[in-house]
Amino acid sequence: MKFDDFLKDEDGNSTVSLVICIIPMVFIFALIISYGQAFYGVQVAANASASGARAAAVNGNASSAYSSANQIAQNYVNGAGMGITFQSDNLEYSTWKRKEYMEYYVTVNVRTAMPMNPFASGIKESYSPTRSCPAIIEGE
Amino acid sequence: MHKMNDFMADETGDGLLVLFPVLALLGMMMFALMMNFMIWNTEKNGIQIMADSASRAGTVAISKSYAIRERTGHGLEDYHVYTELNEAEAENLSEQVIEGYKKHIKLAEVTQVDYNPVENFTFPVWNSNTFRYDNRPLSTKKQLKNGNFSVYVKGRVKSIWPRLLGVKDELEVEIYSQSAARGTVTSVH
Repeated sequence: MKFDDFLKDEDGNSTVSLVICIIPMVFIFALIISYGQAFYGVQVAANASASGARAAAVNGNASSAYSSANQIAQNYVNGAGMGITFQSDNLEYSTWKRKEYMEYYVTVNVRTAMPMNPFASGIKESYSPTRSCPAIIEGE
Repeated sequence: MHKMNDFMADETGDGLLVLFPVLALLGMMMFALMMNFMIWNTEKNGIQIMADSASRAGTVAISKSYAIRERTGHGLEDYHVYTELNEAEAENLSEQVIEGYKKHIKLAEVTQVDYNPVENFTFPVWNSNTFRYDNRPLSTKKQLKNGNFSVYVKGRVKSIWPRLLGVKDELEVEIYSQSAARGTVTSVH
């Protein structure tokens, strides 16, 4: 029996080969979606840290700045969809004075459609990108 | 002697040997193109956030805000608030933010950053000769007192797409961002 005949059903239709082709196509499609999720997760983390940093910058003291930044980042990330959830954040500053430099870090968790190897960090089905945004403290 | 077509066909006469590598190459090129768009989108978003944060940081350098009492066209008095911006300090603060953000823009490279105050700001001045208000433009020095601060970033985003079919391996993005300064009135003139 030739290989080509093996892939055909009794009526001579290529149903078997079609089914065999569909499986890798579904995997490739899921992989593309997973990469899309990973890239989107990076953007969500970047936008959340930028929004949080802006909220923190206008606050007068460090504790209220952190709580408002945390609230904004959590709301933003959890509303983003695509299997992305808020994981952790961190507010870094030297002194809480006007015109001082500060940086706000946000880490999100992306649960991908299939296990992948995002940016050579190992094959796993979740990906945790961290992005930060610097800002200048505006509080008096 | 075999024809080229026979050589590439399998025993049933199908051209699978030709078709498979061609389809595989096309698939790889499509995947690379898609990855390129995703990388480009992410990097461009990062540059936009950086420019927004930098322009916002520049507005923190307000040294003084004051109000000027002026007459409106109906003879009523109105207060126009002007904020004085220290341009050198604004640039310094913006540079700090840009330097801090550069670690995230791995593939993009910022080539140009411009700080432009608003150029076409005018305010009404009462002209007692003509008995009407003239819209006078502010001088270059006074234009800085408008309190708006903008950043123009020209960036290059490197592409993973190779130099195939004349496609460039880097894309240029131009990002503009402007923030309005927030000032408090310290005196009335």
